[in-house]
Amino acid sequence: MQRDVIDAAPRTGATDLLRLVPGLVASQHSGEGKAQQLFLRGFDAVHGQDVELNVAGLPVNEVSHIHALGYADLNWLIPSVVREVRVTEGSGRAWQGDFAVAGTVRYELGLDEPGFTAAFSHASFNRTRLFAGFRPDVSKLGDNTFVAAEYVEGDGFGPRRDFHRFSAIGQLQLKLEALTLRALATTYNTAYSSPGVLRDDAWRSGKVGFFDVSGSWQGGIVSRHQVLVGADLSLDGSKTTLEAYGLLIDTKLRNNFTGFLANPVGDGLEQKQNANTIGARLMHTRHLHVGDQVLALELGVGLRRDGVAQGQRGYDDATGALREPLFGGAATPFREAVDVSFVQSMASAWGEVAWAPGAWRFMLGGRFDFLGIELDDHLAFSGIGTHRTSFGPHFGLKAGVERGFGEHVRLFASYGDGFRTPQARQLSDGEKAPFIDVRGAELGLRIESERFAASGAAFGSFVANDFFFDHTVGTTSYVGNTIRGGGQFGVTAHPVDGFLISANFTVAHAQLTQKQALLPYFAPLVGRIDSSWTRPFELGGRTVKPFVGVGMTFIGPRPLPDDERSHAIFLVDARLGLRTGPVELSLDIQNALDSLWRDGEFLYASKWDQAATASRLASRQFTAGAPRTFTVTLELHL
Amino acid sequence: MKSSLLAIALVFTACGGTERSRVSYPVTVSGGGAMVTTDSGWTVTLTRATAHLDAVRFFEGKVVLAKNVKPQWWRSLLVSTAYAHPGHYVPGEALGEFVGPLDADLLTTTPLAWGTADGLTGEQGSLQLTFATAGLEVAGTATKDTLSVPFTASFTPAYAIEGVRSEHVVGKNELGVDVRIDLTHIFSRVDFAQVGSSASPLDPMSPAFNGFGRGVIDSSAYVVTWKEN
Amino acid sequence: MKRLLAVLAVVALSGCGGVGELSLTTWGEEYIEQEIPATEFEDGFTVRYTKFLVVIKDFTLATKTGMKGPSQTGPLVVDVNKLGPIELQSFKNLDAIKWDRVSYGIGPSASATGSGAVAAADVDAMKSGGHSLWVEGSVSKMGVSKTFSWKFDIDTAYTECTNPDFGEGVTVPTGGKAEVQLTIHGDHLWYDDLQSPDAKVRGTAISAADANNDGVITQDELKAVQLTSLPLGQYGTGGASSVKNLDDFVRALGRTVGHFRGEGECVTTAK
Repeated sequence: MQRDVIDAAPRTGATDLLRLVPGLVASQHSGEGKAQQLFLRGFDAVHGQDVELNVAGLPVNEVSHIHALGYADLNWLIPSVVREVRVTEGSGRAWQGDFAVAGTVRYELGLDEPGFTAAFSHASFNRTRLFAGFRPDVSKLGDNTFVAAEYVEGDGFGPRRDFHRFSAIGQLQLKLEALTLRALATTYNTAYSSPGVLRDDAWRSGKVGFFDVSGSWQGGIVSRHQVLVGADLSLDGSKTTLEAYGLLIDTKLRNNFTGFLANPVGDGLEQKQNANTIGARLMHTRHLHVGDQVLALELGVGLRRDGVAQGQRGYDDATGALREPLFGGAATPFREAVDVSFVQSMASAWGEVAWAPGAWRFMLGGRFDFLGIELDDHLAFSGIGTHRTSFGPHFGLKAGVERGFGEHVRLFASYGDGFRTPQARQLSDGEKAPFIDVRGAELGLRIESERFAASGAAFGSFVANDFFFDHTVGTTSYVGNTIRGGGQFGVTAHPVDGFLISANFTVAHAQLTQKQALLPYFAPLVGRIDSSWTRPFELGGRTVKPFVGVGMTFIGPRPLPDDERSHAIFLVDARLGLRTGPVELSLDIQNALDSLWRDGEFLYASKWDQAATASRLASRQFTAGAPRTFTVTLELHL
Repeated sequence: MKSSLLAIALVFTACGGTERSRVSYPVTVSGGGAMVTTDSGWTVTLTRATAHLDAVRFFEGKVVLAKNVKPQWWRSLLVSTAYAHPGHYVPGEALGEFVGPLDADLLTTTPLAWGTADGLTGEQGSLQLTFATAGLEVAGTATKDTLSVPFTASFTPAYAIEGVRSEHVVGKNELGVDVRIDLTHIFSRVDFAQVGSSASPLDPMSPAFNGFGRGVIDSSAYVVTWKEN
Repeated sequence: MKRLLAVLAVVALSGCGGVGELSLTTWGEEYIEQEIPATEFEDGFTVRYTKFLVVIKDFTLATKTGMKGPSQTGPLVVDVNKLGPIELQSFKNLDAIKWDRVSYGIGPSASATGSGAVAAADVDAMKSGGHSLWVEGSVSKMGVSKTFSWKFDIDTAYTECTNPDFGEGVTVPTGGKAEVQLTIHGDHLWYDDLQSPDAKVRGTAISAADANNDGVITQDELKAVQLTSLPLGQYGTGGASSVKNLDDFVRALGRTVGHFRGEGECVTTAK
């Protein structure tokens, strides 16, 4: 997905960047700084457990996160520096790693124009954005060297939605003959408030407004600092890549989703995670000549070590005061308190070999991962603490076949075993770490020409004895075998110069096989259309470039627990712009139809009304989506 | 072929249901006869037995001495669910409820309609009954041999009656559920020879009143019967 | 880190499968071996046990997926008042997996044998009397002490055992040794409610049951104390309506003494 598609509609943050991925639904249910909840290809990936996210080599998913497995916070990524989005659906490639269950999304970075770019935006709800970027015009540094910084703050579209964040990203690419050196560094800080989740019946009865707040003290603080250094060596048709990275991520968030259901002073939880991650990858691709046949070989090894300290405490809704941990005894309530530190290490090796006789292409690959966890649970045994070690191997098979029909058409089929690592805190001492093993297959057709690209695919996956890790209480629920299936269709076309249309539609199905019941929350129908038009003209000796774009998102009703369905969502975003010389002025309108829509919709029991007569049944809850938002941006390119 | 196409169409439009469905079913309350016998041999003829009720709730947790009840896994896809703890009885998730006042005359022989409960299909294990502030009011005469003790009493439990056994798999077409308040059970511990300073009303410090109160809070005094489909 | 490397090496050499050992132990903790202190009691009593005999049987390993593991060889009489933990049995060459369905029982057995430092006469008394639980000791406050010796024939199954710190069941490590401790909680016999999670530990009613004031609280004396003579709000029976007196009450509490690896719990079923 190239920059022209990215630029077609307003992209103001991580949610917009995620929605670029065909079939992906991203819900921002707890404020501007929390990782989005993701739904893709029949999977409810919660906060990232089934989607591998990567930014220019930096892993985004956090292993064994206190809030959710594979927690993938993309809020640090500045939309203006995303040059390309690469989506690898399913798990058919050997290089796809942890959490690549529904697929892998990789964002490549770069600034569009050389020179200095500065932008100032002001939007509804007092949202202000300052952006500055610089891309040197030096051939040795390539097109992808830049440095950029962004500061955004706003009051939000309702109470307790205020936030501010600062993010800076610098990328260096130095070309030295056959060797290219790369470096990437980022820094990010944010503080945000969250309005919580509202009961639908409270809104319908007029007790609360659509954009109101439930609970106090919700929100979070996040800092993320990352660095990556890499080298690419291209020699005689082979390419060797070495990358090493380090991440420092500190997250603190507070949520109270259930009110006073479990605790008369409030069910709110404060969760903290401090993670130090280091890792390295070595990849090598080359051609092998076997007789008169040529084989393409791809090999890789990787190491990743996450040192994590994580904690959880309950807090009182009235005062925000944290509660002390409660220890054993028959009358002990569920252990809301967590205080653990662990090292989670993974060593990986993968390889693929491809053979392309004539119009055919066959690929066979495999991937081996070995996970080791050493964990100290500081609250175990009434605060005495304990140490646990766990380990586990995983082998995944990858295979694919393609057949070309002429220059523009390819039929493909692939198979891949994807996996996700378990939650470290859940494992017993000496336990063989249970990976979730996902067997996925895909059959599709791709058509590509100069002005037109289209693809259609049917996909399916099977998970034996799928389990769900309940991050709030640290237990695992096995739900039996699950299957997912569906189809996806996408098209991108430039019918005439200056006009772009890109559309994709995904249908999906997910169910428990033994119980013949639907899995809750997945997105059965997702559609996205982006279209833009531009036609430069001369005016008074100056080139004037107008720009019009529109983006439409449709998300069909999603199954909720207890056989209910969520509301359908239809959103239209639009942008108008004008550029002349170094000056660009644009107007972005998000949710142009001003739909009253629910970004997140859930079904569970909550108790915000303390009266004895208040319902204890599971009830519909929602987080409000943003109303119509206008953003005016003045951008200078010098 | 046609059915295959239909099946495929269903697969891709996410028809079918998640594990549970919404249902509703009528709730009735019944008492029994006006004559009960206590463990200590008293025959009690009741002239009044009125239960003032506020709410009935059905839960997944079965009545066992000690068990963890996990919330249904999908409840935790987003939220921190109210989590059960290792106690002696854990209600777990609410699977049905009717909230509304009822002054039930327990001396009538026909069940009294209380209301229509909203609930979910699936396996439930226990019931919780909430009394209104007036609790259970009784009046009558207890006789044993030549003794005759006219009495009145009123007792309101401090908490809802929890852990009433109600093991039933709720289907989509439930005809209704009856909660019988077993007055024999409630009076079983009452010894009218120990009424303390007064029988009408019963002396709240007396063993007789104590037995009456224990009877009201005894969860086995409430018998749940689901109507056969 | 060294340990992790060692485990990795073992796994690599054993082809990722393997076997391990399990030691089955029981322990009465300090409350049974030494004293339940006054701070534990709502009303300032202390309890010292001199004998706490239990018959442990039917310890079984299994998995949720239906895999059956080995079981305890035979019922064992143990006096957990003696210094523990006491090893009941050692299981060798066990599949090194997570055994997440662990169960055991405390109940009478005519074929039980003694384990640990238990008097042969006590073992015989338990077998011939059909007892599963025999507790002796004293309950004291303000210098006044009463003794007791109570025997029960209750038969209780403890299934689906889990522990908040260890998780469900037990994980046997490859090439290593796991321990499962069936922990006996002596304070449970003094709880004042059969159902409420807010039950308190009390001594007043039981101490006062010594009707003839001879310093010995007999089970007959407990039987004579009707719960209706005790304050409403204490000695609640939940739905156990057959529990009418203090002897019934302590007997019902006797079904809750068995625990799993410290504070862990099991589904408890009367047999």
